[in-house]
Amino acid sequence: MTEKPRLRDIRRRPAAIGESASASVLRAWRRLRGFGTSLGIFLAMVALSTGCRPPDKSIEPPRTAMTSLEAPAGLEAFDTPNDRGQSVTLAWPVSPTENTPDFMIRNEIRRRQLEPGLSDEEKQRIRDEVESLYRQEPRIEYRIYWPRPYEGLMSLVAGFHANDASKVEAGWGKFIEHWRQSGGRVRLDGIVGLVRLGYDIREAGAPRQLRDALESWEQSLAGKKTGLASRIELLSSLIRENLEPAEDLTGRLHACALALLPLARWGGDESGLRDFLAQLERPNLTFSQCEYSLEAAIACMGSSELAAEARKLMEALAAENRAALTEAEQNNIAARLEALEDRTANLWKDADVQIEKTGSAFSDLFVSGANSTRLFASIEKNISWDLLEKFPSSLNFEKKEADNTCDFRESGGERHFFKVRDLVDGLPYRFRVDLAMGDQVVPVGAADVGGGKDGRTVTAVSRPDWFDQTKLNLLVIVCGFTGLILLSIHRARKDPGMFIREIDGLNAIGEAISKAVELDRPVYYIMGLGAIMELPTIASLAILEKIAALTAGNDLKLLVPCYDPVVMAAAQDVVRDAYDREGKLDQFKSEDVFFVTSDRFSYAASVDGMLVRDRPGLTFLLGTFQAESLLIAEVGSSIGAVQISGTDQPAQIPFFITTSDYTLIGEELYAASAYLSRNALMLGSLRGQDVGKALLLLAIVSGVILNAFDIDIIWSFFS
Amino acid sequence: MDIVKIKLPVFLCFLTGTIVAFATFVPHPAIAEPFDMINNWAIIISSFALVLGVVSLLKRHVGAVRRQQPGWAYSAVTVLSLLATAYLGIVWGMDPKERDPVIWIYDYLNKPLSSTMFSLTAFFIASAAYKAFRVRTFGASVLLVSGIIVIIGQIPLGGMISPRIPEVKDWLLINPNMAAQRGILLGLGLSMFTTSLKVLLGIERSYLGKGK
Repeated sequence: MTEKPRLRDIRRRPAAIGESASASVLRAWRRLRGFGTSLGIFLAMVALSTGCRPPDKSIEPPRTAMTSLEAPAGLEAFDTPNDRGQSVTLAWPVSPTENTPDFMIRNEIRRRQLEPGLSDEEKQRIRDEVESLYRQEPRIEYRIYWPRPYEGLMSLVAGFHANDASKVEAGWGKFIEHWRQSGGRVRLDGIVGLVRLGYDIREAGAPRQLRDALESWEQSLAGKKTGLASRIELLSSLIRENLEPAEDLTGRLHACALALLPLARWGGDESGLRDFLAQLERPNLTFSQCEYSLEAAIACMGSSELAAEARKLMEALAAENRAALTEAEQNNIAARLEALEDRTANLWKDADVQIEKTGSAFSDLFVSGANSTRLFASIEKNISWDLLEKFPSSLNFEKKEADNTCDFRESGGERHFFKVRDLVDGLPYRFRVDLAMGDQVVPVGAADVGGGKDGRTVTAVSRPDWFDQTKLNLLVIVCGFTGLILLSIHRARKDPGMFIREIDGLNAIGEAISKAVELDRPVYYIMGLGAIMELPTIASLAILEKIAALTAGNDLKLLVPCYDPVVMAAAQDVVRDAYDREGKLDQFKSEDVFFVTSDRFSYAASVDGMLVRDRPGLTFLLGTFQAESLLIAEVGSSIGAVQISGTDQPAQIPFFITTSDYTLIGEELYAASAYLSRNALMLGSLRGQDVGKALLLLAIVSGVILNAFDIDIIWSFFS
Repeated sequence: MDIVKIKLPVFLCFLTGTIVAFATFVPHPAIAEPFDMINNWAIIISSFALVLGVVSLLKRHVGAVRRQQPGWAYSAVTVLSLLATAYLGIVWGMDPKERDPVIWIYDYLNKPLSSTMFSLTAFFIASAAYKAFRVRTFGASVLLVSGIIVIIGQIPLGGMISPRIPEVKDWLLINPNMAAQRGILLGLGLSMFTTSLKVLLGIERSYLGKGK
């Protein structure tokens, strides 16, 4: 008679053949109980969540009637912050017109798509609404224009900074050709580029080869003048000679005034000043004709004695003209003179000189901006504004990063941002933005009068930054943790027996090696797909060193199939050295650490084949693994090898856990080297790392608590 | 010898590592350009290292064929494939538009074989899921239930049964799953930082083959 099985016995022993029906039922009940409990929790969660707010499925897109385009004001251009230069950013507010169905529905779609519970049909219905609106109303788009920069000049300056003489020569050739073709009329940004180049050469000290190249093109330009000192004079005279149209008095004044720029800044003969003063002594000269030229002269000369002299002349001219003018005109001139003096008081601080295109040549020159004084001058009659980029106003919802040229604003933001890349540092670039819808086109207004007399042109100069301020918190954390780890290493030297947490996977290595010895089977060490530059690979190499020493000591064959040839070379060194230290160098074969392939699935197939054929007793999978992790680990598991695995890829960890005997989860891969070596320095760093982790945990908990009381110090620091 | 094999590599490692670390905080070309240069060097060195790989591969497989080791036929296929592909590439080039033989090999041999290997993952995942979902403990039961919810919630069937299932699926993925993953990533980040510091300071130099 069969004794009735007790529940405790059933739990202890495995299923037996001939087990009674009641025992089977009880076993099934035991197994299903856990499942039932979990299912019950799930159903309870579902029931509880029924009381939560149901998703609002009634989307009624706003239907604001669109009448006419309303352009935003506040266009700004500035050096892109925290970058390596060669880039400026344009920014302007969102237009009121953008708050139309087109814009708002897309916003709504975006918002709703982030919410769970919105069915595909509902999403499709909203998309259809948008499409129908598109059919009714044309798309709103922004168009960005700029006067195409001088390619030759760009190449010239870039060549100088890159120490590339051939680029300098080619750039200079292009620039001179452009200069001559335009009858000597070159925009002021070209002149600034040249002056700046001369300044850079003198200040930075160009390498010999480049200096020779510069000397040669300078000779070809001037025919006779050479030398750095004469370069400034050369530039000054070039500006006067090439930019002075005889028929335009104001233009001549401008050219002479601008020629003072290199003179005042770097010295030279005073012919430029003499020319300028001679122009001012012409009969019938009115204040209006020379007002901006005088201002330009003051700007160029800064606070020198020449500026004082020019100011006196200006006042005298204003007084001479006063008699011929009406009272209103006199008051107007007085006000303008006063404003001019105010503006020029601190004129030369951080000045850069840029160009303005207007309808008539040499008619506009003005200075503005409190902190950054800018001088705008019109020298060329017909600057062509080229289209730099155009994009729909709602593009940010479709495409975040369009290409390498520009970025668009964040979703839901109140401003558009457009980043222009691949510029030359130190040169001024000018931009305009239009808002367009169908045939309607309206300009986006500039933020201040610095944007030009037309109130819509903005200018910016790109400069590289020395510190990325957005990473200040990261720098603080890095410094803090570096100090912590160094302190821990220092303490570990004094106390080598400090407590370090146990890692099961590493404790099992000795036992697994013993098993492989018993079975007399090889050991496979697979480092995955990582390159030598990757930290998991470095960590894996450190573990390989210890494993190689163990296999050498136990006369086991160690095979290391590699994915990367550089890793293979490093692994060969590591294994050879381990064998050498164990006195078994004669047993080391370089063919045992071998390259397989650099194709992921070919590597997996090859390693799988080797595992099946060689049937190793112990397999290590330590390093970077991707989609092939399960392909290798499952085969390793199926052949009955003891398998120890570890990776830094969280997505692959579950696969390793299910197929391996021991898994090093995440950070344990990095800790393994220190753990196995028991070296005081290494253990100290491990201890420091654990303390750091505890501090981070503390910061997280504190952040949560403080945030609950609306104190966001920790949140702000980490974000 | 000690200087060439240990001190010089450790010094170079410190130098390049410091530049790379600085490049994280300093965008200026004075640091960014050396950083780019180091990256380019790494790429160039890696390209040359391919020769090492090919030599290693030939050494191992030609040796296996010569010695008639078990499975030497596989080695013979490997060597022949390598030589044939190299020959076809050198003679006909590898322009994708011209449908050169190497491109043909890539399109009609390599890609289908790789896809076949990748498709095996589906079966292996099923096998792994079976192992993971065996109801042995309370934890395994929770895993099973969570797995079922995520699987059902991921397909249209879940929404058809109840709109709550996709919501619970999302909650599982966004909250407990993400929390666990971030915990691992946090630990990983600190470990990577520590390892980098050890490599920079020359404490960890096992990768040089001279750990002691």
